[in-house]
Amino acid sequence: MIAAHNLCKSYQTRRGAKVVLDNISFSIRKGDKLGILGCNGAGKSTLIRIVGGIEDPTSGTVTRTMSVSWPLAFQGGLAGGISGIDNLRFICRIYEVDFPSALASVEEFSELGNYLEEPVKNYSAGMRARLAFAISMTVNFDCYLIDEVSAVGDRRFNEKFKKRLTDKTKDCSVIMVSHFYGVIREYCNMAAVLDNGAFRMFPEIKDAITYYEHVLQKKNITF
Amino acid sequence: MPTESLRAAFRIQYRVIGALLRRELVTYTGKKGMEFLMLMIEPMIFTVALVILTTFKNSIVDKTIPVVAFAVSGFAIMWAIRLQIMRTMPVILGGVPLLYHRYVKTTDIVLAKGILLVFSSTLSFFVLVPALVLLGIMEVPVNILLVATSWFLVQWYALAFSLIVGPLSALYSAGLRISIILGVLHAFSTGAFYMIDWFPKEYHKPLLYLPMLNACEMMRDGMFGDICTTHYSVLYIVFFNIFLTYVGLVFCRKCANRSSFYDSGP
Repeated sequence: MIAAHNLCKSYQTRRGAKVVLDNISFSIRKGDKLGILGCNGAGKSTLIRIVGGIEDPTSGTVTRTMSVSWPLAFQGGLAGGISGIDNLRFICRIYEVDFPSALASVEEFSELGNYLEEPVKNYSAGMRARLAFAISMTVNFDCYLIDEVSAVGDRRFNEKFKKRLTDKTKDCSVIMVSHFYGVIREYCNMAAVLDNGAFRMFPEIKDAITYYEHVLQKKNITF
Repeated sequence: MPTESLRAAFRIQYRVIGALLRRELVTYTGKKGMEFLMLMIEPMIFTVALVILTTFKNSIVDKTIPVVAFAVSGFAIMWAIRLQIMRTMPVILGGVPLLYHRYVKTTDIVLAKGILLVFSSTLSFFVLVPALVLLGIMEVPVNILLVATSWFLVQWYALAFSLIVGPLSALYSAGLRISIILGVLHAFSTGAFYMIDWFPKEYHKPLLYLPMLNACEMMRDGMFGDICTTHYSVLYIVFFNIFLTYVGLVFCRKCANRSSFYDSGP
């Protein structure tokens, strides 16, 4: 189980404190797939970093009784100065994963070929996302945190990504944040909308999407 | 948050620092097998250059002191500390992507870099001194244990200092500048260019407040023995190092799980 209790987060700016998360509470059980929708700057990434335990909330607590992955995002988790293989080695050491079998799986999934031996800083955004996702799939977690990883992939990769995620996380939990409901609609079984610091949970995905569209309309955002 | 027992936490930290060290080594040279050579040579270049310069110019006030040993002790200490400060300054902001892994803490990132540099300058010192002795340029130190102990205290000081300048440079926009100044000040506060005994007696006491000047005098005592008079207090260096380590750990604690790092971009 992962439970967030009364999470608040505010950032100091030159014009006083800006509240990003305002008294958020939720909990998910093993097997739940939670999608969180929010516009740019709504605090999605902040929330996922707090749940992942790499950033402290201003107040409130997060209780984790299962292992949680690092936030899988475009950037973060990978070191730019070293090659993809060395990144994998680093992560295998930290999470105590067998390197040879992990390498085989990363080679197969990422389809990066010889690029795996190049420094990650020379990768394109898509390549980086592929590597980040492939590496994270080699470590077994009870819950995966995903921060818009699928948004940079092409169609083929997104298909592969969805299939792999579905296979891998059949019995696991997932918390996924996105500004677009495409993947969330197909993949999650519960959804929430983050807007203006408030967190609204919906048991039905379609209700969340309807509400989110309403939020977007208020801000004159269309897809 | 799952609170690991102290033992489990140490096990994780050991694993993480090990992984970070290997990453540092790979980043350092990019080529396997070259790491040790590079690590050893880099701190040596500066020391050797200054030793040659000092020897030829022989700018030492007290002509009874062996000039090479004087220069080696002073510049090796000064450079070990300066290298440590210069290199650990940018290390936290450069390592932000690694902080995404919950087990990796800012303290580990600074420590991994610091330990690598301790290893680097120590290797270089303990290769350079025997080499100079074998070449007959330098006498065998009178008290090797004293030299080794002072070197240990210098490295402890340098590592503790890196725990301060690492977070300081990452936390405050002025921190980087302050760290640079702190680094430069060590050129003059380590006895690379002078000995306490060259000053009039009334200046001895204030000079002894400089911890690394104490360590430098200690090393010279071990190198020359009774040729010259040295002034130092081992206890003072130890207490100063404990204090410095404490301040460093407080700074590192301030850095843990900071929000501002993640928004500063890659």
